[in-house]
Amino acid sequence: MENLSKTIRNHKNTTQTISGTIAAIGLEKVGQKTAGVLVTPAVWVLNYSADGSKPSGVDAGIYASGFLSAGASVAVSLMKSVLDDDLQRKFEMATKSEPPKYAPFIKTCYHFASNPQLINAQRIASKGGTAWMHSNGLWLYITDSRGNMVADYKPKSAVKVYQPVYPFQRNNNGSLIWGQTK
Amino acid sequence: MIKFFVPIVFILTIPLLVSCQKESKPATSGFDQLCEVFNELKNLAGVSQLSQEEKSNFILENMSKKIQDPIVSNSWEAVRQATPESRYQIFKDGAEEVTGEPWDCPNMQALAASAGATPEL
Repeated sequence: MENLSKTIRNHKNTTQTISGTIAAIGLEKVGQKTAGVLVTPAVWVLNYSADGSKPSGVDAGIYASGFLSAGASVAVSLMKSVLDDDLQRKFEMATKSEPPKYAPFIKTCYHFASNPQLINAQRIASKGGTAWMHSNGLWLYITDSRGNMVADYKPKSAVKVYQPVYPFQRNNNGSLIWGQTK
Repeated sequence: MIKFFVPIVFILTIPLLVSCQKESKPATSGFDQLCEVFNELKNLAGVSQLSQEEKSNFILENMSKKIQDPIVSNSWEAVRQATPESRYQIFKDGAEEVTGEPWDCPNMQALAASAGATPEL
């Protein structure tokens, strides 16, 4: 809950912007007066979580109604923020498992391309890189200081490793043949 | 008055959200569609006479025509370059991770080793 409050505080501006979008949609669909009532509470709930501010003289039932009605987009935003935090926490844990000198060159497979991380791990290995899954479920890969893939890195803490298999051999399209080495 | 309508609106919204979620899941996943391409290859007349490159091209050509999901084509394009004996299991792991369900394709299991990239001589 502490983390959620912190996340809400950090993302207060973003979520209020989203609430503004919801307000615009609401005005078209249900009429200005009703939309105003329904949207305001979502912003109030976020403000209350972030800095304790709240409006006066408004029925608490309306707040609940507004939060539930306008909550879908807000919830997506909050969920994304919480996931980002979770990803960061797992990434820090995973990089600490590797020698400190390599830490600056370790990256998460999440951000390699717009695929699920395991599919990105497959692609990294097919491009001559080493991708591995840490015991916390996060897939990682490593590059050299120029951003080139590293074919023969041996991660210290991995439950699964995809990388070119030794002795290295190429396919006829020039790619290194890879496999699951752990 | 508003207090009266709040629970009703809430109760009516839940089934709507649940049904929307169910409808968003495609009936056949891209992984199943790629499996179907392998089934077609398996049933092709004279498949045993085809070279590794011909089988590989059959899969790639049909994949580009029939499969819309880039995750599936990205996965196969990577996995086809893996060691022949590991291709099926690696692809299966990816399919199960993405779909969240058990996934099998017997004809891919039988053909993946001979329908991927060809090692350089």
